[in-house]
Amino acid sequence: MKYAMVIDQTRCIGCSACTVTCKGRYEEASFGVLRTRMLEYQTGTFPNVRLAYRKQACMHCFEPKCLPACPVKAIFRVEGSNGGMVDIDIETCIGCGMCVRACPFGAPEIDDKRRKSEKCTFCDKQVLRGKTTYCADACPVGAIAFGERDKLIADAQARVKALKAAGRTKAALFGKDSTGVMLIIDGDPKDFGLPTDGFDVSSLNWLASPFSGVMIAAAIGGAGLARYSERVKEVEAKEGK
Amino acid sequence: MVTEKHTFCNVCSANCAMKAQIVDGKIVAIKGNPDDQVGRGKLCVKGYSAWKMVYDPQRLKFPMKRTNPEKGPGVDPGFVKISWEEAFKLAGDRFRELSAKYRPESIVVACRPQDFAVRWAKAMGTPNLSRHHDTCYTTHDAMWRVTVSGTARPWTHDLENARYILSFGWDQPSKGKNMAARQYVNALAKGAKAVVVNPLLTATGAMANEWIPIKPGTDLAFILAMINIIIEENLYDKDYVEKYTTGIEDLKKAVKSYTAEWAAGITDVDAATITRIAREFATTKPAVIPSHKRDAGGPNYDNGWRVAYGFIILNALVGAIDRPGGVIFERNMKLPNLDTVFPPPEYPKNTAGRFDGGEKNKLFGSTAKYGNVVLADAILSGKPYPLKGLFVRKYNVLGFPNAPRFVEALKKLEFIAVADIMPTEIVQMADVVFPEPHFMEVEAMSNRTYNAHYPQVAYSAPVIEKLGDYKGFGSIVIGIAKAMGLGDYFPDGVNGIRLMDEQLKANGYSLDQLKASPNGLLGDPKPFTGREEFGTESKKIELYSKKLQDNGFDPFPAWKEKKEKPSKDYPLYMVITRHAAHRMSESHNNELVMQVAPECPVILNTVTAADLGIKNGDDVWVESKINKIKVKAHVVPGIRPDTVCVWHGFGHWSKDLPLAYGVGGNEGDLVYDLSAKALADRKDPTLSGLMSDMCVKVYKA
Repeated sequence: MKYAMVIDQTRCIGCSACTVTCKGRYEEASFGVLRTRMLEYQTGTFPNVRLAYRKQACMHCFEPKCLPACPVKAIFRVEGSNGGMVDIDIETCIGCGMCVRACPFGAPEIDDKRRKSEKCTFCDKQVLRGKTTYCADACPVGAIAFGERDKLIADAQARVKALKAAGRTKAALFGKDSTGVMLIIDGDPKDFGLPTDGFDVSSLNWLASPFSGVMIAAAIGGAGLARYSERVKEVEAKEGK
Repeated sequence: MVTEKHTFCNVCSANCAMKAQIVDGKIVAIKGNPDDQVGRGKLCVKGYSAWKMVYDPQRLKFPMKRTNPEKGPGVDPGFVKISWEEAFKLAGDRFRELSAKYRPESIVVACRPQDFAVRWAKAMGTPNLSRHHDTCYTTHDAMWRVTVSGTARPWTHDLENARYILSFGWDQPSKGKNMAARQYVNALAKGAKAVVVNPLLTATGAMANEWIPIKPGTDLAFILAMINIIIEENLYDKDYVEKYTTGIEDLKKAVKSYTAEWAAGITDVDAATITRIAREFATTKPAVIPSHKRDAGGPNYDNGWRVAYGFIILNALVGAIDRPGGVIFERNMKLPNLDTVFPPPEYPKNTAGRFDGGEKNKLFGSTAKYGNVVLADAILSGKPYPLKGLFVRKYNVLGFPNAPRFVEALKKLEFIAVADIMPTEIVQMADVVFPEPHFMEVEAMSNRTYNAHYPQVAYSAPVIEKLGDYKGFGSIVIGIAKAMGLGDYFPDGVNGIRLMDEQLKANGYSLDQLKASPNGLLGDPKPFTGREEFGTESKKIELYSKKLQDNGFDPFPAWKEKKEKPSKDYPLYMVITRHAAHRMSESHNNELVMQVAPECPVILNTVTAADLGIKNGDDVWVESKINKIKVKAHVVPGIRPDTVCVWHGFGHWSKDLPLAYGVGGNEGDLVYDLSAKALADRKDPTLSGLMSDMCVKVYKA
């Protein structure tokens, strides 16, 4: 079975039920460090304004940019998930922030207190036991679908077709060929801070809205790089290199 | 090993049934109960995070008394731990002394409707029950009572079967409300059309087919024009109107001058759009105008009650009242109240009127669902008589209009007793504090009112052992009453558990049966049958109310402007909303909630912000005629340029709430409270406040 999730952003009300449920279940991370966040995007000029939300979390890419970027090989594809799930071995993780730098979706976040990278694990321990993800279970409006990939894609394409028929001509399924988590969006990917051309980082709008979630940009940049070289030295010292 | 216990959410009055998952005696998560008609297996963000409050280390843990006579923000109350006996004796003695010295009506009991508290107040002989509904939804409640139901308003909508949903400020989906959001999203997915009239763009408007950013406080003009067009063009539901309403001919004459062109000049919405929406609303069936609390018909503006009446009229004209796809009266069990189950000894007679004069209102006065808007002024003015003692349950200072003035009023009282869960600002003003358990620690049942399509009660087991020395609210009230020598009103055996049992027995069930229910619920689905009669004297929906007229009010929602308009000094309208994750100010120290909504911005239009030299994230002052608050600016295109929106209820000054302390500002500081005279002069049959009827200026801090 090839697991996947489809998040229908055209149903999403931006309430953050997914965020509090996820954080309540995975409490190890420090206050404010979240595996899934809600971002609000507004585009246009009054009164012709579009407002939409994006559930921002690991997209579980088929070719995760974070995986080769990790200097200690803490990031791995989950066995038995047929490539759809990407996890971090938290014991191995050194919290250097290279995954944060590499990710085109702004998903992982460094927990400074624990010096660990924190990101969505696709609830792999739940899923491999035949259960659904906590966020999909929680969503009060049924915007998060979890299940078998081909079935989800078929359902999502039907939904996109219905949206288009209702006049939402820009409706599209994002990530059909590239990510374990797909999004139904109504608009240009760039309006949701998503890469428009493959995983083109340059198109990202990192600071879409400071009030809808957590500032993610702070995790990258100079501090992250300094920490990286510091950690590499630590690891090398530990391993007697 | 995970065990599950049935309970229901008590964050809001929806009471969605839920299952608490417990590992080693500790709650690890909560889930919805799939058999529940309200939540249908899901909860909202507030419900999912509610359990975190149970483990808040700042929770009140035992009864306390104050040792520092000085009161106010920044003053340490010097609380010391006392026994329950001492707490009851202290409160009982002080209330008895005040009652003897100043008369019984000098004591005010401020809490949500609760049978034990009502009996206690009556037994003391005070008419002064003070409640928050005048800041929340009295406009709707009173207008339904007068013109449709004879009792209260309906709380259920059948949006999933609606084809046309017209919102005037109704915004429950963006506030995360489980049942409303689910129904709205499902209705749209099924092809219903939605039009959202709101100065602020939120998820509700964003999902709709149209967002119409109307000028704040002018919805009444839009509505009157719609009524006029629908009647004039003969588009109303003839069968329904003829069979179930009175007054169509009088109404027709009354609204004749309210044309779409007239409304366009007031609302900033063009006449063609108003006309089109009136026609669409009347010809797409079923159509509905949903309403909840602080929508355009809430107690926000001077004309709020007229808007609430307008919603009723429009819904009646299209046959949407108590019909599929419309506004539905809840089909819940009829539970006898405390006085019916356990008749009290005769109450003492007291001819004194209320502090706010509300009893003079013959339409709504007897409900006592008001008072908080006037309370501060009544205390400070000493009119109509001195108020000296106050009992408060879970009403925080920040929820009162003009909160700083309310604090000044509290300082003037001789004695304040508070029952609460968290050490909020009202607790900081208390002389004695009674700690209550969290809803996860008590046994309870809920009859439900929101989304009740058939009678279904939910059971709440004590999910965990109480984590502190707590007593339930009924026991607290009884303890104080007994200490006052009013024990005759609460003989042994009169308690909440027996009351529940008797209430269920009156419906052919029992508490044991409810406890034994495998899904924590009792009551089977029943097919819907719409009402044939309503609760007015005519048994019909009154589109032109003689009853209002006889009591000195306009018989129909004649046009009236909101009170305050933008001026040179205060050039911006202000509207209020909140993040979906927050429940008033109660969730501001909840660790889970504060990670997703840690701030309370003022929302400004991009152009307005640029004119004021304000950038996204700047600290700014928002100032009304009475107070100012410092908050962060959130700059977006999705709000009218002449309007700002502030999130509700931050600005905590209790240092015992470390996550909330000092964050943002309380928009209630900007809101005007009223004197009893000002309230009477407004000629508002619903005794409501003016929670958004003010203008503000915004400038960089």
